[in-house]
Amino acid sequence: MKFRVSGNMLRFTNFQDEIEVAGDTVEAGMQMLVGACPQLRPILLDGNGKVRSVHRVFLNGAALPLDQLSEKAKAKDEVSILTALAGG
Amino acid sequence: MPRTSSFQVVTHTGHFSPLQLQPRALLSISFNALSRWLKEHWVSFPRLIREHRRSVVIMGASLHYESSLGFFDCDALDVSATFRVLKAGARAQLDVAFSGDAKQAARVRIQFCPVVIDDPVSLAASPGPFSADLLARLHDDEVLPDPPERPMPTFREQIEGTGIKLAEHAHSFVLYRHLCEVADQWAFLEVPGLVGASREGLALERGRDFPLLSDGIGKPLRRFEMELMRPYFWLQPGQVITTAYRVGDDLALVHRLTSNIPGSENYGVIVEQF
Repeated sequence: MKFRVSGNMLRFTNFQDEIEVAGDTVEAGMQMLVGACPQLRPILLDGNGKVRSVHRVFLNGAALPLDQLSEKAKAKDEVSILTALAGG
Repeated sequence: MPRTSSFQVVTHTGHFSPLQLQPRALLSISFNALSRWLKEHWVSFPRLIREHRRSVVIMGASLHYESSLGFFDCDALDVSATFRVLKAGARAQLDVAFSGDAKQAARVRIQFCPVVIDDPVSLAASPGPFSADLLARLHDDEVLPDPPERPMPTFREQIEGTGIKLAEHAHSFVLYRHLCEVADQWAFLEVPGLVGASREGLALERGRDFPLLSDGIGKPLRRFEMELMRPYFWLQPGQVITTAYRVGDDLALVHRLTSNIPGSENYGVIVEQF
């Protein structure tokens, strides 16, 4: 699956705006994502390894609640992670 | 009396168009006025974020031009700013008065939503009131229970209800970094430039069909009302959808900010009156 992140997170993905990872669920894909981009881990995940509530997740354009990340994902699926807002 | 921060800005040519003080300049100086007020009377902006894990995001702004003031009319602007917390800590408001040549040139009001910083590195945040500790440092007349006023929806309704629709225009943009702030999120003070580009494009494209559109490039802006719903982030594509109206003899424009990325497509509404 392909992950896209909002622009405020690009500096934590080595400025890659599209990252292809393997995984059969969104959650598994996220673990692969933060493995590929270690700087992104503390930005995306809290101390318990859960996605921070300040981010929104979309699977193929449809909002995916943060408690449903075990949703199945296919190789051609696109997952967008967008921060709701920042305090800058 | 609520405390004020007063200072002078020695002007340069970049603050002005041939017609007036640029709206971007007014918002930029106003944001600096906020920083000054925070540092002088409360907690500096960097410390507010770093030590108190609080910041503000802009929900709306009103600009009123009171008199014409050009680059050659004065050597400096006198700026005076007052900050208040509203809704018992859940909102905040900054009022800024600009004077030059011994007359009031413009008034700016900016509405803020306090946020709680979730991650101090990316500054990702969520809405949340100022802490009790922070509120305790303010004077009593700087913390009000009232909600903020919202002039934009009424103004928009008045224009769309009584005005004659003239023409529409779409202006696409990409939010490059020079339009962003420290969190790689858009800087609200760039909004007048984004909608101005759409207005100017409309005037150039359709001015022959509707001569009134030329007021949007040939006459001074009188009033600017903005409400923002959500932010753009660095490198995000967006669009300004502009609709021009004749209201009496005057030109007014309603601009909608949109984007086609997942989530809502409504980012803000701005109304300009010439």
